[in-house]
Amino acid sequence: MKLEASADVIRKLHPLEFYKRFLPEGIRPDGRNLNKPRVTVISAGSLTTAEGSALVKLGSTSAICGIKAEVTIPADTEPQCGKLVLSVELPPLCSPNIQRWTDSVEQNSSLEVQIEDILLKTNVLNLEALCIKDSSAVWVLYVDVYILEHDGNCFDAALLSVLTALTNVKLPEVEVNEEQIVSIVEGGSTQSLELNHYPIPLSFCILDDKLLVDPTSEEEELSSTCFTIVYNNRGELCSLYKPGGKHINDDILEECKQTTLNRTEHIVKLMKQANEAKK
Amino acid sequence: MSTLVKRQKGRLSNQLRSIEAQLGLLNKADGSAKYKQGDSSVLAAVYGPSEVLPKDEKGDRASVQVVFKRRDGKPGRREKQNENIIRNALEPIIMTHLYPRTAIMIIVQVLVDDGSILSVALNACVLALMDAGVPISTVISSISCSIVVDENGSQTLLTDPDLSEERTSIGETYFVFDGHVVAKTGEGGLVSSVTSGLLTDSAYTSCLTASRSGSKSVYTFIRETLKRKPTTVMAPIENIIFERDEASSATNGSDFKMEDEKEESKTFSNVFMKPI
Repeated sequence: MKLEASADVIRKLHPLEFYKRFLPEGIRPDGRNLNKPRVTVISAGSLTTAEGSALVKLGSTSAICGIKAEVTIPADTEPQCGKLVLSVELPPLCSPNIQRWTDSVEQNSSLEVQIEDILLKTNVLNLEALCIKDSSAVWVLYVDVYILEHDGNCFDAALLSVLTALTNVKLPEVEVNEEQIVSIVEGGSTQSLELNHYPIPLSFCILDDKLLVDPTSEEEELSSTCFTIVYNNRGELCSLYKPGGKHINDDILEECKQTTLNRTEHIVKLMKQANEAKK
Repeated sequence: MSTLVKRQKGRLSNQLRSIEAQLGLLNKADGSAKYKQGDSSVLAAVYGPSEVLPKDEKGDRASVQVVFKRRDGKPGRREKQNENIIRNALEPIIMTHLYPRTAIMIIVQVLVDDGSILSVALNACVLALMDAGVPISTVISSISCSIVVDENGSQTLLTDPDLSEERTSIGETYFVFDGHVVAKTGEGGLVSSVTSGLLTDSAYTSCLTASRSGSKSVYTFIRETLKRKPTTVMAPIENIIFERDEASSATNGSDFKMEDEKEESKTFSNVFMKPI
């Protein structure tokens, strides 16, 4: 009997060996160079029922974000600050590795904490801008992210979708009467949110001692370490998140920072284009 | 950012708080360690390699589980994230392939949170793992930094911040370094990095350099602590210390680093070790 193994079979059985054939040639199985991110598609305003929304695709990884706005009473300690409630969902349908509720909760909370830290601690959004009336009414934004397909690097997709959706938010004009009841002004203008800066992420992984940009889920699984760098359009570092894995040296870090920095402008342009196309 | 500033309790800006450790406090656990940096204190316990629940079983290696318990209050997303970060740093250094189909449980109980708690927790976990005799391939150690802004608008870097310094900071960083790599080469060896707040490139680089030299002190402390445990067999530490001094003087560091070199010996001399 003749023993034959097609490329697909080797890929399933010996994924690392399969990759080791490609990487020294400077190319990846999906046809990309090692330092080339996947095609990024950003579209805004795809959900009509939400105040702001966005769909972001990085290759086949896709995240959708919807923002709903409601009126609430502010906290006593911060009477002028609106609120932002973030939730990230990784439903079981997005990846074969998320079968159990606990897997999904672990990844959800990690993504939520990371995105929330970037949005609030680097002051992307002025929460004071969400104030309707001092200490009686503020907007609360419910930001919900769904990962529809998880093919690696879902943090980047999630953060980009949140940012695009935030720039896309249209809050209706409201008025407050003497009895502190808030009502929407019929035919009033809409108010959009100003972002102070745009934190743009890029993720990397190290596989077989080679640096790969924007890894797919297959590459993430085989890699010895993954990390994400976030720079804003002003060139400030918003986050450098490397939870663990194999140690890296400073040269690689510098190289990755530069790659991220070079990409910010392009992505901000894509975001603005997406918003203009909606108008 | 390179100038040294006196902070509360007479500490210099790049000085660590005094470090204390005690091993084997818990009888039931396979290994345990109480680790203190100033007033921040954490108790870590290691159970395992032991029986694993079928759902967590891995065919070719042990599954590593981390539980992070706050001193008070409900556990939330932040604790889940801390567990995630600690597990991600520890799993690659534990030789899990030696114990397939088992579980290694690491439990972190915060006793007092006075800043840099994630770093303190990670260092406690490393000590507890070593106390339990779980084989690890390298020793990692962690240090946090904060950046504060004074009235004049100039930024100052504070190594190993306490809670009041963390609250006033504009940026925070947490780093884990591979002790062996740093001891040998004096550079690189970055295992984990978590930052929050807006940082300039130069601020990040100074945090990285300051944390790296701080982590060397912690690394030496961890080795010294283990050396005092009667049953431990250790690789000789002498040559590593020599290399460390050569390496750190060879690097053309900023003036910040030069200051730091003098400071480090002072810091280490006030490290207090309890007999075991």
